[in-house]
Amino acid sequence: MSDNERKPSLNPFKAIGAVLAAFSGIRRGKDSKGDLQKLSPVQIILAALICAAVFIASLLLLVRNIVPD
Amino acid sequence: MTTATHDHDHAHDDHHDHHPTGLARWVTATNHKDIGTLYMWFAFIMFISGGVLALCIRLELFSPGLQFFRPELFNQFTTLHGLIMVFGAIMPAFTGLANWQIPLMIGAPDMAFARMNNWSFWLLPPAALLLMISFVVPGGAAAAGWTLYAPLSTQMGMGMDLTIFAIHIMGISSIMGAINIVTTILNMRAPGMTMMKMPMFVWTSLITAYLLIAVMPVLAGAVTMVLTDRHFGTNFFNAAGGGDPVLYQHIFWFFGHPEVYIMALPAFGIVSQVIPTFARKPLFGYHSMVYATSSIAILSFMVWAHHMYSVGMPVTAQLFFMYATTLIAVPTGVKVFNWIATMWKGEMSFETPMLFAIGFVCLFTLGGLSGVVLSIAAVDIQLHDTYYVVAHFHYVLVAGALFSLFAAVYYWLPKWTGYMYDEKMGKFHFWWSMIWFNVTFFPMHFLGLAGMPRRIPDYATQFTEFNTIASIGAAMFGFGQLILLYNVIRTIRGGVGPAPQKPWEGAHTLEWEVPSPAPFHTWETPPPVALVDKLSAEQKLH
Repeated sequence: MSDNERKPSLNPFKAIGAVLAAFSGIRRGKDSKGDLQKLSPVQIILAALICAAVFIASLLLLVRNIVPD
Repeated sequence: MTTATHDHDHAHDDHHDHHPTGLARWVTATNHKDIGTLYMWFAFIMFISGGVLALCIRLELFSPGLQFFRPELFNQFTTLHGLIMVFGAIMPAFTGLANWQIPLMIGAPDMAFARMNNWSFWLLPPAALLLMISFVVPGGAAAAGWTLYAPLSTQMGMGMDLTIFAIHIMGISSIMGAINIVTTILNMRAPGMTMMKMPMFVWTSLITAYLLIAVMPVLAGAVTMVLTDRHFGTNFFNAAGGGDPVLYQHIFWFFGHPEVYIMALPAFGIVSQVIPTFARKPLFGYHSMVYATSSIAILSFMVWAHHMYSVGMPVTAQLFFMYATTLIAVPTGVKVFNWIATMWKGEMSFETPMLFAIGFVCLFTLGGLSGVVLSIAAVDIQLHDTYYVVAHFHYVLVAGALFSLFAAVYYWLPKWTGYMYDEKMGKFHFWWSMIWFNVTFFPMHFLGLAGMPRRIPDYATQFTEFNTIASIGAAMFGFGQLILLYNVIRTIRGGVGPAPQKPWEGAHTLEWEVPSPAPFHTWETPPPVALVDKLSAEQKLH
């Protein structure tokens, strides 16, 4: 892993990856340490809120498909 | 357990206290330890009061037919039992623990707002008094169940008004307590203690405090709407006036479901402190524990209507809440997995706190599983408002929250009092509670599956045997709690001898770096960074 970034920069996919891994509870130790260095709490909270919104939207989509009109 | 002493220079702390003594010490208390103690004793008194109500319920249900109490009074017992246990016992007990432990565990001298802390506590006794005296006002206490559903709650006597005011006051107390916890944790951690080095109990207290700030105002709003419906001519929940009683249920459960986690998350935190200590291994998956706690907190806001499947909702909504609820089992499962993995190949020893923690893991998982059963809408239509639900939430709240509180009391009692408790008696208390808890609540699953409704003073004769067994179990469980009281009082008076600074060799958090008993003022000088780093390394936190 390249550790050339000291300050957290914008890593939207890494942040969303971290949140998804957090939800399932499975994460490689190396990646988990990398999260702490590369992501700021604000990024993680934003990613979590986006994931929550996507989660709600996909559940709604799923149930609308299941339920006949 | 041995004494691994890490003497640091705190011995000077306990000789220079200038604080009031006697009653004034408690009334004017601003010290986090004194306020923590007040909270804990208040919670214990409420626990006994709510327990007496529970025993009255079980007495009436010992055999079919109306034996001792009028149905109206029986409904008051079930309502006040729930309200007192939730708002008077479990929540204040966790706030008390947070008060005692958070400053010690993060290396802060006190809570951030010491005087507000005093006010948070002293609002509670008047609220409890309002609940108690509501039994003797015309019409008696609230009898609508702890959920205070409209239209029942818009119709009752002044006991309901007293309950509404009590909930307002306790809500204010909780919000202030939560603000204090958040501010303390975010601003007063010792140098070197980053968020990801905080003990799990601190993490879960922080997330719980956010939940409290988010949902207590919602409850306050709901009961205020009930109040204005009752007295000021509004029709929020009155169908005759264009209102909607189901609206109350939505608002209540938007508070009520996160409330379940307000009572569960600190329990997770305690167990995550106790198990690594007695397994002598760092907590497995600390990061995933933190994330799982956050996930549970976020999910807890989008599942409330699973309490309302039988009320009448579009199938789309039922499916949505069903899927979302079932998914909470994932982060909760992560936690259970992590506790088991922490114990795996550990050098386990089974002191009383560890016994209660293991009891928690076993029984909470059982309560969680019956929760998954109830989350399925089609099954819940059958089981809603039966004793299956009563069994489910007592597994989560008694074997969950209460057992974790017992674990916490035994775990930190040496630090609080400076003396060791009687281990044999503690173990006896565990096994007594474990056995009689299951005798009380396991048969309730069968009763519920067979169709016995909750909140009734009488029942059909085919339910007799299991009810009798449950009543005997409840009496035994209830009186068994006097063992805890005796053990605690005995420990305060000297116990089985002085406690070392660190009675548990596997503990690696900051509270064990101050003498036992913890001096009146601790961490006036923050712990050295080297010490924080050393402890973090011992817990494998980076």
